[in-house]
Amino acid sequence: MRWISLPGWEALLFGVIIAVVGGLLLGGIFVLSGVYNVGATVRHFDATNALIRLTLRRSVETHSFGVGEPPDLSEEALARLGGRHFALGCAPCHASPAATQNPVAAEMYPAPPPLSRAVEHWETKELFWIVDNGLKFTGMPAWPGRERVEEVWALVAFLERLPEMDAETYAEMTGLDTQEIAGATRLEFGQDLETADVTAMCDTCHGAPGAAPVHPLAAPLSGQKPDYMERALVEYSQNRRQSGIMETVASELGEGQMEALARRYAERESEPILSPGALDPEAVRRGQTIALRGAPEGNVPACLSCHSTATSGQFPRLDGLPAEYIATQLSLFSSGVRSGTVYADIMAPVADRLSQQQIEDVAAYFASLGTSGGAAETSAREAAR
Amino acid sequence: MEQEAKLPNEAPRPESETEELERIWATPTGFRIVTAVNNTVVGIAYVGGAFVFFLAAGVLALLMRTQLAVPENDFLSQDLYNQIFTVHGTTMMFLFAVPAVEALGVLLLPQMLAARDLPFPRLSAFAIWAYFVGGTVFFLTVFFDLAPKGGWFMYPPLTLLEFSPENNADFWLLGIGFIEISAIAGAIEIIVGALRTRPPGMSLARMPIFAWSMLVFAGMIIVAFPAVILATMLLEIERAFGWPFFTADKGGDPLLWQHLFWFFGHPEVYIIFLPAAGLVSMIVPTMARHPLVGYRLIVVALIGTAFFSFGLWVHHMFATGIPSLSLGFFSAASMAVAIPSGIQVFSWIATIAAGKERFRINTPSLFVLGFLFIFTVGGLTGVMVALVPVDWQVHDTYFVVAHFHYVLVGGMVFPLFATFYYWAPMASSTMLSERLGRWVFWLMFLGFNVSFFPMHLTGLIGMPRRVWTYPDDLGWNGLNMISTVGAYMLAVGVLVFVIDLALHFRPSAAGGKGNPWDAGTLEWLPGGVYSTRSIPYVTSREPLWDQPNLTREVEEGRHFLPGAPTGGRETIVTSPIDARPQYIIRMPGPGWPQVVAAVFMAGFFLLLTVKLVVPALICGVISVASCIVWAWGLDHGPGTGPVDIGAGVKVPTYMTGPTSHSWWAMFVLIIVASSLYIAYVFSYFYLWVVSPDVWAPEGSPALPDPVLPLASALLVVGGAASMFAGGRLLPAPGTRRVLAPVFIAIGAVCLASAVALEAWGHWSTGLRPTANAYGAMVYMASFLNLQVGLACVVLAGFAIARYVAGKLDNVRRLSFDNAALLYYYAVAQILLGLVVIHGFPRIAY
Amino acid sequence: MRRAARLLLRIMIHAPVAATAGCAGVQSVLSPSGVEALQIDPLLWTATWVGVVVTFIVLALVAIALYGPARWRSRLASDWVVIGGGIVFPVTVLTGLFVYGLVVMQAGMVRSQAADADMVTIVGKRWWWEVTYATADGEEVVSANELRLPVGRPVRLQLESDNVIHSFWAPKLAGKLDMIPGRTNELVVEASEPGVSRAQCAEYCGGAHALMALYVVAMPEDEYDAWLTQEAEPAREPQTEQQERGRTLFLENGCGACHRVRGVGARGEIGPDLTHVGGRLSLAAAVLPNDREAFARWIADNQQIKPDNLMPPFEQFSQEELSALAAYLESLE
Repeated sequence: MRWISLPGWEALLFGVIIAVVGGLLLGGIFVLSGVYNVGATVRHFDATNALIRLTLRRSVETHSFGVGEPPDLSEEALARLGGRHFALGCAPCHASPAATQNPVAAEMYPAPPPLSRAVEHWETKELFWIVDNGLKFTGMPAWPGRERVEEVWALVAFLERLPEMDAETYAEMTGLDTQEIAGATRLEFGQDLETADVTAMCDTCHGAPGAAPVHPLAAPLSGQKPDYMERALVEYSQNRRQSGIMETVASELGEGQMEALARRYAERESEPILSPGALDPEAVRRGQTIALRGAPEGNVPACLSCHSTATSGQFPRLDGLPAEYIATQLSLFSSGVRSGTVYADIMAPVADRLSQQQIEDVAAYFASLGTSGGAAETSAREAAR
Repeated sequence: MEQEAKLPNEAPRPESETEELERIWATPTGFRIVTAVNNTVVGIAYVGGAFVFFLAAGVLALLMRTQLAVPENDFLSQDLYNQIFTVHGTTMMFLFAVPAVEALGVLLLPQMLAARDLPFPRLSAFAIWAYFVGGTVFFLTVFFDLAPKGGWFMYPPLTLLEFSPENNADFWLLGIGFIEISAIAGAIEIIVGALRTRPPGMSLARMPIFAWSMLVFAGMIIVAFPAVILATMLLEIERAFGWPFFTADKGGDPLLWQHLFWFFGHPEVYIIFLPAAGLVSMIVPTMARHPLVGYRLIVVALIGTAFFSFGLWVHHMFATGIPSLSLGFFSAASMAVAIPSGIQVFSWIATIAAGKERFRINTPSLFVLGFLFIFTVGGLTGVMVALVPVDWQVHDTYFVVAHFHYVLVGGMVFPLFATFYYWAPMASSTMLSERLGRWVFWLMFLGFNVSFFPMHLTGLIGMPRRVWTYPDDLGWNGLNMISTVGAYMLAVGVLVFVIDLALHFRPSAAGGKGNPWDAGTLEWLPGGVYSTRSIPYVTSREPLWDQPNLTREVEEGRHFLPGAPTGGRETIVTSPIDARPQYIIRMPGPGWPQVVAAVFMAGFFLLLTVKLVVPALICGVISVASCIVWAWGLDHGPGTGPVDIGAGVKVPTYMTGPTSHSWWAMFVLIIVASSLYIAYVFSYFYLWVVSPDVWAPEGSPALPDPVLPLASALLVVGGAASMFAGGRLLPAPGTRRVLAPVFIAIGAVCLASAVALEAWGHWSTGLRPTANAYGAMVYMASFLNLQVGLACVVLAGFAIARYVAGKLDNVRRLSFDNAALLYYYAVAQILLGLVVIHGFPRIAY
Repeated sequence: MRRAARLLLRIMIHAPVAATAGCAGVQSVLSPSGVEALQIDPLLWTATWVGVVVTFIVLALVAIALYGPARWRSRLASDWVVIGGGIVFPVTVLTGLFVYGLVVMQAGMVRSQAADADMVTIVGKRWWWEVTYATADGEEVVSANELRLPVGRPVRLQLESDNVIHSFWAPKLAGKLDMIPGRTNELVVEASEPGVSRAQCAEYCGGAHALMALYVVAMPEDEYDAWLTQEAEPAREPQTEQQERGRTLFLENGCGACHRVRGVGARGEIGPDLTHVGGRLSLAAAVLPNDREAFARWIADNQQIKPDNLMPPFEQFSQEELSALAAYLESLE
């Protein structure tokens, strides 16, 4: 029987085949002959350029549809956190209010645009998408900490402020002003740097003695267990723990430096740290129950049976960590972002059993312990008993 | 003979008639083949589809047997194995067994009844497309690690969100949703077909056993499937919105699912088996060249099986710790169901013995004999598991796996293969190979027994079902290895059959090659796409045996309806009992609406499953729209008026009211809806008994003020009255009477507001569906009301639209009659619901 | 009269049992060693024999129908054969079987009323068993993944679940009974002879259903009572350096978050009670033997050994640490 009952079908088909085959042939010749010059010195034709730009803009516009709702970007602290990273990760190529573009970067093709101007051409979500995904063939990398959206938003919050930012504000936002130490102007880390100086760098985010971190997403480190801190740095530097900000920093550190830093922070006289925002006492109470007794009906063990000073140095102390930090990390565990390491594989299944409510409750409880030491010690002993 | 004298029509007939029939019934060519609706075309496609799923699920079975061949094997991972056995069971039950027998109904029934087609050709086409798309999507999930892994029985709590957080379980509900829809559509088709499109003279007592079994089959479907439809609804609603029907600590009960599921699930087994038995009852007489011995007893047996099968669902729950009294009752029922089967077995034996010459041994009859043996063994192990204490030991072990494979493969697959070999010549221009056929049989028969017989013992020495691995030291190794070898043997048999198909099966719409087995029933009449040249006047059960000239007469067009008087597709509708011609159905031909409707409905469910709500809704709308387009063309009105079908019989070409096939179809649909609602009422009281502590007024907010339910009741009654008035006020053809549509509209509004009022009443008391099982049940009633209410509103709107278009009057009124019929049912359902929900708790406290 | 029938049965039955004795393992219905199972056994065999006989009758009739002499065939070909074979015959046979079945069932019901039975609560978990013994003085002794029974004394098993549906099936003792959330099912069992048998979960409970079993140890009454008093004791103190180290590691690494070891401050309620884990026949619900090597494997590899089980893998330990932990756990008898 005749399957194709439309007259002329065969003809159409034939035409298509010819076209396809011909196209492949010409394309093949062009590519294999090597006539195309890939040098960065040879600019695109204007037409090509226009086409590429159009493609790029449309692609970004379309894909940024999928971007979730941003957090409150007007929050100053968030922008500061972003600023810290900008000075370190973006300014070297994209210039900054404090410094003109690096001539090496300027010779890239396409050259990284100075962001003070460029960001104005993009919507907030588009900026997010570009920072998060990077851009093919431009040298713009994707965000090193995969799926760390909250970090990307921090940077976006900073970028949004960039256009109307003068040198002082910039220095103040990026924490450059607070430093009178070598390398501070370029916020550079290095094997040769004194631990003291490096600590000063870290403090710009994690908070100097007595001061709160620049933003709750950056954990206060005073009195934290050294083994844990060193492991964290190693995992960041080996891309086994995701964070666009910390990976950038940790990869600059040498073995000895990590160990030294960890010890230094562990020994640092722990100062009270004001936990941001008021905590709902009800949530704190519920959180305490989970921390001390767990939630057996949901197969959730007591947090403090591992996370206390009485246990292995690899289990971090949680007392006094900001609620936002704890909640974020728990979600990273349960969503599988923070996984693949020996200890993450222990925590992940537990975090996965917590409801959103429970996550917020435990976060609130540990934040409420406010100071490192004190309450947690007792509750830890309680747990151990 | 004097029969010659009273032939309806005189030969010779004009040749043009045949040509016209050819033209009218022509099968669309090229890619338009998908629009075909003729039962011979879609029937073959349907059988083919089901067989493909059989092969696919069979491959999964081989994977499982490979995994279990040796202890502590790691060929399959735990997770994959769990997915595979779930998909294997679900596919075999829902995508192969039920569709396969329904497909045979679509393919064979009209031929056996010498009807030109089934009464609702597009409906069956719709059912088949829905089934193809939904089934395929469901099956493919196994390749994407998305397949359900809760077992084909999907017991909660395992399948609740807490223990199955991913989409997997939802895909099960999707797949099943489709089979439910297409099975019920098919059932309606088959009931109306068997009761109303028989040839003149074929009284019920002369109906082929297969038609009887399909009738019983369809009857069981419309009673049994609603239970599982409700169950799947409840489960999906609990998964999606957290209404706690099955969550114990909120007053739900996991056992509710088991009751609903098995109230469907056990009849399901007979739903699969009865048609197969019907096929055997057709083949045996042919091969014995002797009418079936005990025809009446077999009919009784079929009905008896159906009856008993609804009284033994609890025997799947003997180990759940239910009271011994009910254990005793259900045990008795489970054994009693063996009797009807016994009747059939012995009447087949008697028939085999009855033939003058010896029973003919060929591939079909070999499969029948194989079936006799396997099914007997399966039946007897069935008796064993019906003994409660024995069941306590063997339940959920490989003994049961062996038992039900003996019953299902023996009772359904072997008859199916017999059918393939027996009826192939009816649909194909060449027969299947007898030589290969015997290979197929012996490989399958031996393979099956080698594979499954040892499982009885495997189970008795302790191996439970649904285990992906087993320890080395429990003595299960040897038996498992044997079973695996047997499974591969069975597979080879099936493979040979596929080869035979490829070599010899040449389907042709223009009928097959005569009557190779010289059987006695009408499907062996010569004919074309239009089925038979004329529709015979039948005087016995085996007309081809008892009316020697019938073939010639039919070919010469000397029986009824030799041409196409209305110039379109048509067939004779006869009275349900004694088959006297009543009128002519004019049936729709090929078309796109049913295809589009099915495909987009598939899209709707699928997208909903993956939580893409907006696209899903778009698909849903398109689907409904094309249904409306489809329906718009159906109510063609009286048209040319009565026509002569021969023997001086002039019958109308348009019928409304209780005589019309559409009225019957709607009536069957209403039976479906009411069984669904009865299942709901059962669930309501069941949960009440299980956890009275959450029921109003103690455990939940007190019921709303009685005024509200009374108001709802008044609304629906008033609405019914207005609907009735609307019907009375329909204008005479060509005239207008605006009151009619107004009253119809009022009816619709009343119904809608009654449904809304009832739900709002409970909401206002502070009761929430997520609070506890009581709340969930109360709102579930409103959900079901909403469902039927929505249907009524759409139908009413449709009727009004018909009026506006001038296509609705007091003669041409099908669209209104259907709306009204469903409306009256909806009223009844809502009233019952009000009594249950507002009445009983008040009485109880 | 019935006694005579029983005797006759025994004779009928012993042939096949002997025949299948080769396969009769620790989890076999065919070698009962509990009162309930012993009651069901003859019923099972009677039903089997009936089945065999009927099958052969049917086969014989089919053979006659096919190849028999014309006279026999014509006899077969009557409605009476259908009525006799399809109705009268089955009704009589089935009624007999049914009554026998009821008798066995009722006998079981009566036994289950036995007041003076010890109480043991078994809770189905994913995928293990929590076993709680009630001592004479009403004290509760929590254990796991093993059931001990006094021979000749009826024990009332309270079967429960707090998650999905499981089913407790110890074939040598009795038939299975489901463990359903929100319900408590009671099963009375009585071991008729000392010895070890195996039970397994018989209701598909997802994930590692295949790896959820336990050993049933039937022991003479006095031994049982002694064992129970010992089981009620707190955990044994470490005897060696290594065991001491093991306990420290156990506590430092938060094992106590999920596991209880009475007397050392590990009070977890999520995983099995380990107070006397060393004294059991198996680990991980009859999946591993109970030895140091198995303990070590389980701690680090449990997700390979029993996929999806709720215990996270603990891969941080050095060989030395693992063997210390294993040594400590093994010492908990």
